[in-house]
Order: sequence, then C-alpha cells, then structure tokens
Amino acid sequence: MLQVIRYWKGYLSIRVWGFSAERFINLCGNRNIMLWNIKNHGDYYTMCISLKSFYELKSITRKTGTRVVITGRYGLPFLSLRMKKRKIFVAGLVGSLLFWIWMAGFIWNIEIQGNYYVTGDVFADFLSESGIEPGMKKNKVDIEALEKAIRNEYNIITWTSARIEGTRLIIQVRENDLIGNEPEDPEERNADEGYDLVADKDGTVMGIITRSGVPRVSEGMEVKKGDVLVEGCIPIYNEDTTIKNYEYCRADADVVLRCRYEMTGELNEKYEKKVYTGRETRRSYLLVQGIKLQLPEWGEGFSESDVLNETEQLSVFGGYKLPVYYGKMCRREYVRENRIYTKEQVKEKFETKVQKFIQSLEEKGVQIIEKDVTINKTRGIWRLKVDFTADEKTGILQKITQEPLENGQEE
Amino acid sequence: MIESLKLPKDSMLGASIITVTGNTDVFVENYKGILEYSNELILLQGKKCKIELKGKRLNIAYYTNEDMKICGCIDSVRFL
Repeated sequence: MLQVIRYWKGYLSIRVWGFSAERFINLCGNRNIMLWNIKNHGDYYTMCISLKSFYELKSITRKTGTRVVITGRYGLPFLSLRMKKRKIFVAGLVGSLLFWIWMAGFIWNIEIQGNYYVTGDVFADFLSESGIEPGMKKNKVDIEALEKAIRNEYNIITWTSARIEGTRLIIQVRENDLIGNEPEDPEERNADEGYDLVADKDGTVMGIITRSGVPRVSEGMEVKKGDVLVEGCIPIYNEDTTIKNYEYCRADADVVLRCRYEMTGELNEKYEKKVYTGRETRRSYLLVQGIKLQLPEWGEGFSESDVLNETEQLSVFGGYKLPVYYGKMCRREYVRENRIYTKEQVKEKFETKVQKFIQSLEEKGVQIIEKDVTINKTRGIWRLKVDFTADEKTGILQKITQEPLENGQEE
Repeated sequence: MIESLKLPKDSMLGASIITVTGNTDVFVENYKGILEYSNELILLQGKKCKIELKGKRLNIAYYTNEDMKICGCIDSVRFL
C-alpha cells in the first residue's frame, strides 16, 4: 500500500555526499522528511525521497554542506512526462479506448432462450424482418415494442422478456406447453353442443371412470377405432320411461385401453466402419462477416477425412461480443473397413432401439405391461420384432352430428 | 514512582525501544539522530545514551523522526 502511494505521488532516488551526510539524515528526520532505502557506498550515500520533500532539501544541504544529485525518477508524475515524448502511443491508447466505448454502443449478439416450437432460424428471420440485427445501435432497440411484436407474431409464445446485457440482446420466451392437449379453440368448447368420446385405436377396455356423459362400453369389452366410448347426450326420461328429450354435454371420462404395439427393425450384418488412422492436421482460422481467413492447405491431402470445426465468437470482458469469430479446423484421416456385426453387438443395438421406443411411449403416458422380443437373421439381415402389450388412456372428442337412434329407448 | 503509577517507561525516562527480529531486522524508536553510519556500524544518539549496532551490510530501510528500521546481518547491540 505504501509503495502504491509512493508511486502515485512520485519519488526520487538521490545520491548524497559531502562533509556530514549523517547530519543530513538527522535534519531530514527532524523536518519530518521520510527517507528510505538508505545505503552507504563508502564515500557517498544513496536513498529515496518523495518528490514533494525533495524541494525542502535546499536549506538542509546548505546547512550541512552536502551535495545532492538525482539518480532516478520514479512514479506517476514522471510517467506523464515521459508520455509527452510518445504522442503517437498515447493517441493510440486514447483512440482504442474511444473505439471500445463506441463499439460497446452496438448489439453484437442476439441470444434466444426458451424457444422450442419456434426454432432459432425462424426467430432470427422474424427479428431481422423487424429490424433487430447484430450491428444495430443499442439505443435503437425498443424492448417493449419488441416483446409485444414477438407475442403478436407467435400465438404460441405466452411470455417474453428481452434485455440488453453488455453488447448482447437476450430474448427469453415461454411457450405454451399445453398446445398439444387442447386441440379445439375455446369458442368451440363453449358452444352448446354435445361431444362423444370415441376410441382412437383398437383394444380392450381395462377400466372406465365417467365424469360426464353416458358410458357405452364396460370393462373387458373390445373396441375398434372410432367406436363411441362415452356418449355426450344424456337422455331425460319421462315417468313412463319414455324419453322426454336429450341433454347434450361434453363427454369426459378416463378410459384405459389395453392395446398392442408392434415395432420392427432391420440391420444389415455387414457395415462399413471408419477407422481413424491417427493422422490429422489442425489449422486455425478467422471468420469476419462470413469471410473465412485461413492459410492455404499444403502437403499431401488425405484421401478420406472428417472435418471438425470449432468456432467461437470473440468476446471481451465476458459480455462484449465482437463480430469476429475464430476457430480451429481439425481434419482427421480415416479408412473404411468392412465389418460384420456380432450377435452381441446386434443385441445391444436393438436393445437401445427398443428402449428408445419404450421411452417415447412412456412419454405419451403409455404403460407397458408385457413385451415380446424376437431377433432372427435371414440372408445376412438381422430382423427385430417386438410386440408390446400396453395400457393407455384413450378417447378423443367428436362432435355429435346426428340424433341418437330411437332403438336406444327400448333398451 | 513511574512503576507505581504504571506509566510507560519510554516516554517518561526517555528510554529507547529497540526491537530486534532475528538477526536481520532492528526497529528503533525514541532516538535523537544518527551519529555514524557505515556498512559495518551504525551509531545512534538516544535520549540518555548512545546505541551502537554492529553487523554486516547494514542498510536503513526507512528513517523518520519517530522510528527507523535497519536491515542487515546484526552482530551486536551495545549501549554506550
């Protein structure tokens, strides 16, 4: 800390010689002048003294009959003096500083977070159409208007938040996750019409819990695709068990259907494998405005090779992204080799495939009860066949278009 | 008298305080000035007596009116 203050205020190293240098030191002490690094070199002394105190030395030297010369100047006050001689350097320093400040006034990177249905490309197109592009001035970005425009453009987006962080524009969106579950629009739902619940696949009813409507199926019944499970019109009976009229409603029930899924797969026994020879070339490149700057390739090329590019955007101080990309290109040589899958490998491959299928079913809420896997090989091709027995909820709403049949009354 | 009143001895009697750290550093407080300074010997004038420091490669790290620090290889500290 002391050294920082000394440097800030500036200090000198001096050489003192003459009749009584000890007296010189004592007098400095008496006048509260701090000296440090005092060294005896035989017939002269060297020491350090602060710049301010140096001007008070005149009377002391006269009194003691010593002589003082400056041997070194250190600290900030001297640095600025030295800088006077280096005008171009200082101009460059100031210029680059101003350049940074000026560049920081632009948006250099747009980041979109939380989009799933609306892909990044689509979003980027929309943004450039509405005038939001990398390279635009920061103060030209109207955050409020942008958020509104996004919500208006995409109905699926329910919430947006845009903010500027450094030179980045970060747009966060929240999409409506329930899009798939509510196929009809609310107007239709409110209409005073009845809806039947119909099966969307073949199977056996394993259980039914009706919340509204008249159930048409019971446990253990086989249903076909399109069969009515729960009827949306409820008959109102007179006292003599004749039907007075029908009340229409939206059928609502949990119907668990046991159905079968089938999955097949094929795999050729022979395959080509890329075997990397271990030979590779690495080259760096620079990407500016879509133009790639790279040294030309030399030496013998590889007959077959993979190219791996790793590109990163140049950024300073974490957030400030610049429109310059740099990256590494790695070219790895390989040779093709013909191989044959072993039984274990085939099993493993099919197993992952089955697991993936099961996972996709489970995501849809399907519960697997039983699975039957057969793997066989015919003429060099492995075949997989899996039969699943699974329980799943079924039922899609269907508008009632015709009056229920009269024969329903007699039953 | 001073002991019974528990007053600090250095300010009352004008005694010097010398703190020696190992044989490399010496802090001195309460002195009047330097009488002699060479690489092997530093002679200080205290308020009551003289202090003689002998050693090799003696340097004064800093020197003010109140205290000073001496670095080097200290051989002896004597009161004359």
